[in-house]
Amino acid sequence: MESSKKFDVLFRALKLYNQNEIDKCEEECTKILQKNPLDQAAWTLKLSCLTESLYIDELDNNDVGIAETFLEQNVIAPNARPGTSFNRPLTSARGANPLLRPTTNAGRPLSGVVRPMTTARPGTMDQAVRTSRTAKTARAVTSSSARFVRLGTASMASNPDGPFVNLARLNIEKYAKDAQVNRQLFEYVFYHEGDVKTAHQIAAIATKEAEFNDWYWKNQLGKLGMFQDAEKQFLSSLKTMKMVETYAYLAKIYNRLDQPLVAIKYYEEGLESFKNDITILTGLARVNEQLGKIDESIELYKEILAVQANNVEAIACIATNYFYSDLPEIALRYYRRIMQMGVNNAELFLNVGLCCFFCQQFDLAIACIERAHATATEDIQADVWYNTGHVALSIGDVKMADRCFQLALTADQDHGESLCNLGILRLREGKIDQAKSFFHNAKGKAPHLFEPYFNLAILANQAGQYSEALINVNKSLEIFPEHVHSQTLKRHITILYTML
Amino acid sequence: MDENDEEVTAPKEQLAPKEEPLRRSMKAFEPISVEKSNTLLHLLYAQRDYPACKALIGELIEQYQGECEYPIFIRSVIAREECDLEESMNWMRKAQALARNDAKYLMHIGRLYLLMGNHTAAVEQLERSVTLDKMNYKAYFWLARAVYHLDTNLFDPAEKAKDILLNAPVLHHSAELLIFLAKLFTQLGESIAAIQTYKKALELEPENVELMVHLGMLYLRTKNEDPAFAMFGRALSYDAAHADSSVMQAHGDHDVALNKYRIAAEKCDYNGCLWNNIGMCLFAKGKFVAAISCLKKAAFLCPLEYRILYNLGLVHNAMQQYCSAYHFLAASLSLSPRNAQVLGTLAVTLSNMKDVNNAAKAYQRALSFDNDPQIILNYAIFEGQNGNLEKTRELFERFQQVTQEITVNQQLRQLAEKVAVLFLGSMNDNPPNDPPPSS
Repeated sequence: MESSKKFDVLFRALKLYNQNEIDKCEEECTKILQKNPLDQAAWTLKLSCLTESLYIDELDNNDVGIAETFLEQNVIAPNARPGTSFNRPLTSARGANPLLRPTTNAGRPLSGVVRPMTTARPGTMDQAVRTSRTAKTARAVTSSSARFVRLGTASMASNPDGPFVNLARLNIEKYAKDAQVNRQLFEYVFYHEGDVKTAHQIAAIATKEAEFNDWYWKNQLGKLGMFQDAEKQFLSSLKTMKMVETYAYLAKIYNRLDQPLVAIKYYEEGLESFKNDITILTGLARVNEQLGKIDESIELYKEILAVQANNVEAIACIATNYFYSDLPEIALRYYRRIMQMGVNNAELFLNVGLCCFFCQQFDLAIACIERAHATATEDIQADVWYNTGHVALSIGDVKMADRCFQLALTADQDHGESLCNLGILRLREGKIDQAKSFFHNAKGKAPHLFEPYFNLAILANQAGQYSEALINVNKSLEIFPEHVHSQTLKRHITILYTML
Repeated sequence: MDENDEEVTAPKEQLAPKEEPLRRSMKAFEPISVEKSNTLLHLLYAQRDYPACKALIGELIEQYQGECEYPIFIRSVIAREECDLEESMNWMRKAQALARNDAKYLMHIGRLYLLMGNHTAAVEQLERSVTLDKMNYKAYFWLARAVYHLDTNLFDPAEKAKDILLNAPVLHHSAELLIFLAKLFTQLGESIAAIQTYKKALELEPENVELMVHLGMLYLRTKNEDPAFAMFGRALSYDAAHADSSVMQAHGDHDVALNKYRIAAEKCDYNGCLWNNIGMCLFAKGKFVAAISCLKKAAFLCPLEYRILYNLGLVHNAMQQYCSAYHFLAASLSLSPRNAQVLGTLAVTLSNMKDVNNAAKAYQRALSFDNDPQIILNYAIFEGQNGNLEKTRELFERFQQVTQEITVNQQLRQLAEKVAVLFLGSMNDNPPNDPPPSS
């Protein structure tokens, strides 16, 4: 610091910015601006500082609100064929059916990581309000690396003496034309202020000023959320300059429009220009996974690992896949790798514990599961108990399993999988009415499960309540169209309806 | 849809609508041909062109002010096939009102009640139908079904349903009746009668794969492996992915069985029993690791099935991984606590683990549940190995006693003789290995 005092103040500020000392840099800028409020360099640097603390990767920011899900006007084909829409993933693919691989409550095969959802399974509004939109799943997930959260909100970061830039009084026309300032100003307005309208105004002026030759402005215009317009901007941006980001944004638009095949096309185009790019490969792997094409997705994740060996998302997804393809030993190696990289949360311990258990390393398994219980946060407690219940079932301790499932319900009363299993345990004790009520409860709480419907159908069929059985078996087939046992049951019941 | 029913219903409705034109002929003297549109309706229905059917029915009902029986009846049938029971019931009641309590409509109303789950009302209607028309075998079928589902403690519903079916006319000409009767027989534990019934049904419907599978399973349950094998083979020749091929496995033809399983697994890879069978097939072929992998998948799919855990225990025991074997057998035992076979195997594993005290306890407990000659023999060998020749002799006597009462595997008998010679005859100090009981 001794020597740095001799530097020019602005230089010091820039140096601090480079060293990621954002707070200190901001202080320096404030000092400069107090001396000379018209210093544009300091002003832009301060804008950058303010933006930096709130910056998020727009590519990963695709959480969809309830309103958008149900008042969606962008979906092109409401009744898509399986495999061409996120709403109808392939369930017939080997190993991707809900029996061998549990599903998230959006009805998709479980992934290795929690990631923001692109589209929810269409259902009733009521259902959407009731089921939580966090990716809570039957089995705990490993990491949430793919999920970026806004670190603070604009109100928290705002200055006590009012906002740094008073947008209402700013001469937008003038600054937007100034190539030295406009980018920082845009980012400040977009990320910090969250004022999309002004941001759009700035970007529109700037792109005109750059004679429509700057890919940056085209991309910014594309980001602002108007899908049809955005596509044009991005395509034009690609003509000016090929950028990884642009391909990823283009694909993102099509993901939002529920046109995954087009998204895959753009990702592949991107890969032609940028071979082995992690962003594009990850995007492609995710889309494939969401479509139920697990094998393709795993291949892509393996490619990612060849390029970037410490990609947690790829490791976790591959591990999950190995686990569900009956290779817990290999899955264990991948999870251990994540652990070596410094991640240690309850989810990971639980996964390691389950892998150990299925490799018959019981001593390690119990230790890991205990550790998971000790560190579990509230939101995954239900999953941890549920899995413990399964371990208890595997060692034949039905009573303990029963208690574990009940504890899972205490942690999260909407845990449909536990409700369903409790129903089956009651059935085993011969308490049919109690079992039924559990199944009814489960189907209300977890509409993504086909099991409660199927079980209810069997019970109704046995009791001769054929119309009820038919309704339930139809629901079951809606969720899992290829389920052979449901199909058989349905065939038997429909014979009674159509027999002459 | 079979055409038989069309022939039964068609002549009846020809009679009914004729009354209507008579009444109205006072005003208009032109005779109206009613049969023509009925035939057309009939054709449309047989072609399953329901929208056209509905349109035509609408016209006809308007034309005759609702006084046409056949169209209303067909409308009800269509509603039923579209699973709209309430509407079907409404139409059927209209038809019944027009036909003045025809037994046929009573039967249909009873059937609708049954489908809705109102079994008491169904029985009431169907009984009336049966008393009105004693020759309608279908009414007997539905009555039996409704009675079967009655929730009562006064009599055994299955027994009562069986009696009704046995009283039905032309029982031997209807596969449906026979199949349901066979199902009742199976449930009542009368396997021989069930087999006879299935055979008769199969004569009527020689290509019904499901029937063949049921029959095959029954043969298997009554330990008639050869006919069961033939039956499954026949079923497989109609539908390659359908039937279980466990009989092939019992025949020792494991490669063929595995091939069949492969086809079945292609169609439905989440069937726990299937994976269990594949696992045991591989086990019999000596591929232990693959067998364990398959069995574990089966256990993952059916965690509450003690047999899979038991098989896992067997395979681990064969691999000399006694701790794991013990673990699985203990799990199996806690799911099925009074199973002598599991306990017997657990005892073998314990003796392999050199836990003599507990092994002896397990043997004794197993024998307290069931006098299985295999367990007795294992126990005898175990005591012999430990030098308790008195006990061994005693057990051999028990073995002889038990085997006189029931038929046992020839192999087991020979083994017993060998072991007897070893321990009691020559007192050789070269004990044989415990034979792992086969599943």
